[in-house]
Amino acid sequence: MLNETTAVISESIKRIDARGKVTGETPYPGDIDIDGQLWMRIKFSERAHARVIRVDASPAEALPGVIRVFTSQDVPVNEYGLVMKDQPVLCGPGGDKAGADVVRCYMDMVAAVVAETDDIARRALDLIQVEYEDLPAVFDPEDAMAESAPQLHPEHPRNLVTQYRIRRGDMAAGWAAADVVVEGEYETTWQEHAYLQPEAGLSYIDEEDRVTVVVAGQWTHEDQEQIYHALNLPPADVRVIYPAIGGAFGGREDMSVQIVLALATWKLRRPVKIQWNREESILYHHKRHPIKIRAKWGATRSGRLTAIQAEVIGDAGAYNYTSNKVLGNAHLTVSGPYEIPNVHIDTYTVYTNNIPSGAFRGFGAPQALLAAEGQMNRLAAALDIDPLQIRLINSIREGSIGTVATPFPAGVTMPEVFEACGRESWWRQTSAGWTLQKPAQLADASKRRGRGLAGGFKNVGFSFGFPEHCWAGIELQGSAEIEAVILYHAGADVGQGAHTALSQMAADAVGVPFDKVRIVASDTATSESSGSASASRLSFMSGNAIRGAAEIALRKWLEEERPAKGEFMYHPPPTTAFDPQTGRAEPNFAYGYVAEAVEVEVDIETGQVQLIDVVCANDVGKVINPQQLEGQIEGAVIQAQGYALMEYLVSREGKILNPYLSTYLIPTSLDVPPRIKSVLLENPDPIGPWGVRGMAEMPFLPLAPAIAAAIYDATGVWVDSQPFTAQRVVKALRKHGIGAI
Amino acid sequence: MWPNEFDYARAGSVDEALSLIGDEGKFLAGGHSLLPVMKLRLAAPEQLVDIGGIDSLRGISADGGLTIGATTTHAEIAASADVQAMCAGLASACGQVGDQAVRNFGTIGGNIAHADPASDPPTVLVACGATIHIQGADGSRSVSAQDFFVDLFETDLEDGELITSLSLPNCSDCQCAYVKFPHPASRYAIVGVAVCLKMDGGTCAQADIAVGGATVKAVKCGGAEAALTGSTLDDAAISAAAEAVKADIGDWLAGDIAYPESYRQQMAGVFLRRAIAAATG
Amino acid sequence: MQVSMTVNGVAHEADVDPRTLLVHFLREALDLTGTKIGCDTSQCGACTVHLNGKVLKSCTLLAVQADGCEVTTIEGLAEAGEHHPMQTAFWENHGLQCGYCTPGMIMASAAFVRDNPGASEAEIRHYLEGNICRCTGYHNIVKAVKQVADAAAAT
Repeated sequence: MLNETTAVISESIKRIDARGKVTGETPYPGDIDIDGQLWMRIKFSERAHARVIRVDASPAEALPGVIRVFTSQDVPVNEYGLVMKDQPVLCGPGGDKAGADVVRCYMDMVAAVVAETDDIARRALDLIQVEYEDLPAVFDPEDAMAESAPQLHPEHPRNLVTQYRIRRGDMAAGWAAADVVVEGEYETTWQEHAYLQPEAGLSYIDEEDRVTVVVAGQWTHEDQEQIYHALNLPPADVRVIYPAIGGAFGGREDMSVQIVLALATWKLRRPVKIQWNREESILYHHKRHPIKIRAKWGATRSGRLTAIQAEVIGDAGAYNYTSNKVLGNAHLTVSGPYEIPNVHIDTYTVYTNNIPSGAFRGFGAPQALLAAEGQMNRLAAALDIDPLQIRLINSIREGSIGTVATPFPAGVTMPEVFEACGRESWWRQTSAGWTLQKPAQLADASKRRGRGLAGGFKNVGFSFGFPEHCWAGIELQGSAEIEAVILYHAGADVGQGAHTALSQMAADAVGVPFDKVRIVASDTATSESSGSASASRLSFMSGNAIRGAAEIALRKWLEEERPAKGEFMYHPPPTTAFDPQTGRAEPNFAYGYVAEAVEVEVDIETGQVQLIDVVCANDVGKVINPQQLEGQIEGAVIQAQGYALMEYLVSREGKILNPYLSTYLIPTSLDVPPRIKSVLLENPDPIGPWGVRGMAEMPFLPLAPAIAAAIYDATGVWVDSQPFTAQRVVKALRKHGIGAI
Repeated sequence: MWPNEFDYARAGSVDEALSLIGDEGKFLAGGHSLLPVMKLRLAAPEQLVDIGGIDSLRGISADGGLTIGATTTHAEIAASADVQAMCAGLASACGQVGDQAVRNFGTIGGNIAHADPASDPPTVLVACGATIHIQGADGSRSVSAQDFFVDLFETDLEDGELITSLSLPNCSDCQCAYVKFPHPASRYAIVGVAVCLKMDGGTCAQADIAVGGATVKAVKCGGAEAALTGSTLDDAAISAAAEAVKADIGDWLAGDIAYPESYRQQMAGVFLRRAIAAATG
Repeated sequence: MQVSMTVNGVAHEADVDPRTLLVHFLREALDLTGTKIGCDTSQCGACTVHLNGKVLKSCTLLAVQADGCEVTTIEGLAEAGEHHPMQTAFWENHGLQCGYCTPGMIMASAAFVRDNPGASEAEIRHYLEGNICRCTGYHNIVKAVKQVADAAAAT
């Protein structure tokens, strides 16, 4: 029985949650109601930067049906934040926490109204009177670094959250050895996650007297920690449960409604519900970081990189969220997946009065790779070397030393990934090396087609010294035979299909058919921490945890324990932070590698760029569920298409001007290319379970620079500011006298 | 999102609708223009009079020209063989409004009363010389589409007046087309150009042209029309028209950060060329 | 305001505030929470239902406007306990990830294929432009709808 071949790994097993999702039965947080529940609405800051002098809630509390208005003084420990607790839960005067009386952006919360109905709560918001004393504000990160700029957080002079450096080799020698030097300036703007399910939640006191919050998030135990810290409660008194989650992409990594819901239920001992609309969702959760990068790369005539220099400035917004980590990742990836002897990089994470930036699929790498791969494509053009060929000349490979002066973890497959991408798209290998087959042009002279390529890498799991961990529990039920396997796990299924993939892993680890596995997931009451559904880490980390737990449970099974239970906390190899002077680090324990080739059609009269075809080569180590995996690639590519070509969040002096899906535009079925070809490589990661590598972010990473390269191939014009809107492309074209009629 | 509070009444006839409507009231048909702005609190009427059930306001008749009832849906207009024959540009424009769900319930009367500059039908109505028929407490009147659209979300409609129908001349012997540059994802017109060309042999006897999307309202483009009229639609004439159209819309330009006014103005020239090609192709 | 309508074959009468949108009526009065709200601006299609057989974004109609109408929601799509072929196709083709757009996507697709058996992939992509998905990149959704469209044409 135990040795039976189960064939659950690499099978396209249908999602275990699909039935409820196609019938509409699956409840998301906003679909759940409890008898006697109250409704919450939140009063947000009306200033980009101001001291809150007074919050008068009495007119609101006088409105019939209003139960209570919570303000800063109601929060026992008025601070929160994923990495740094630098944000007040509710901004206002009178508390113990220094600086909690200041709003630093429009998404700060000032008060939370609880009422009998949602409509009463909404009307009460207008009755809350907030008196502000305006403070000078700063919205440009470069301005914010000036000594004279308004200071958002006193413990961070010049608004610098972090400042990272890499100093490697001899720059003067590097430039001297270069036959060609290319320089570029790249700029990216915010991206909105636009998961389809706006934030919602329900809180209540459960049967064991725990303050319980039902919400959509990415890490149950982190939500729990943020709540019990702010409420100053013992951890065991707070419970977090995730029902179905309507997408996340990093946007649910930080708190939205969790703490205020818990606060209200803890004080009132009644169930409280909140439902944000789309406008609130866009206005009040973090975004992808705007990052400006100045880069200078040198290479020999034969295409070998000699030196790179880069300055990276990231807009953290008003609070850190995960900004220091995101910019750390940008710091690491801004040199691309290449071996470079001489490196000089400065990276700044800067507070401004803009909306906070935080986690979003790719976590700093898409911005950094726009610059890195843009530079590589410029070098290829300047040297007249094929873009794939020049990458293979410089690509990191097994044993390569990174810019951080330590070797990449074993299992580097970047060259194989580049080659697979070229082979499966439009490159031909000859004795002279790889060459791109140019696309056929159309009869319509206003349209030009071009092809481009870019690659990238990104960490799997948490970096820079974080005590990375993942827990799983396995319970084997039955008597003579294992009749059922219960997998306990906290990992969030944000839509990616994690619970199905983890169940497949559990079936294989125990050696039973898939249908014997049942998963009990995403509840702090039934699991230890499994870490977040982020950093492309869940399959990698959970697989190792599941294997460990299964091994223990099977041993107990053989020792006749019934049911046989195993628990395992997996810890990967430790990592280290950047050395402040040189940047030396062992930043990560595993990486994913990806390359993408695209074909675009540029309308040279309008500047509109149509994505025609995409080939994505991704080394996933081992495919657990092919159908789900290809779904991840297709979703990531289209999200990246939106990022590259159309998504444009407009913010003026800290205020978002287009907080609707009618004005913040994301791709529809009509925008997407008819084909996305997934090329899956299976070179095992030496420490990945079944060889698995993380993959969910990888297909996002190089799409924008690949599109930029294809636009260049089509027109001979570079575009460096994301998004590449028609207007920006036309401007660049006209500057070169192209397309004017 | 919830709209403001309002009184709601259903009207069984035009007369009843006109008697029910109050000073701060609005007529409701499909609601696909009005309800979205009410949800965003950009409009807060105190009263809605539902005219969706009035049969006399709905339907298409073809008798020399076209008459289209105000509560006829975009889907019905797009699918109508009469409209396709007599005003191909309007059928095309109505087929490009929103998406299928929106076209199923959104009405032409509601669309033009809302006067969204990025919407497609007004541009064709202005180009093709449509007449809007309006009824009020004091009787009925008719106004040309060109005069009906006054400014951004602003029409000639007075409080309490109801659009009952629109009529269009038979354009079946014209070369008629509506071509737009759709906003990615939303598909609203960044610029939309409607052309209606009467050809006499190889010569353009009459040219009617309107531009929307790039402008605060659909604008009739006399300069571009003059450049084409009397020409053989040769390259020189088309280039002159493409240049003239930018001046024609110069006083009415609209834009946003992604697609500013200057860009849209340029694109009006590009899309005039494409509309002429589509009409004559 | 009194309103009566038949939802998923069951007659309902209710007294509603006139500003109640159909989607709120379905979700709150009838507890049919399969119909989702995603955008509030008639963009995303998560609230798509059938009104007298036609696809409708139920966030863009007042409940009182549906007086006397027949409404079908995702909960009413299955017949005699059998999933609608579109539900099965989305399931089999992995035409969903987070699933929040799925009820609306299935309702729109089911009406489309009913009216357009044998529809081409391009027609499907064009038709679905009013339903937004942020997870899948649409490919498996189109595949699912095409499978049902092909099967419908074959019978």
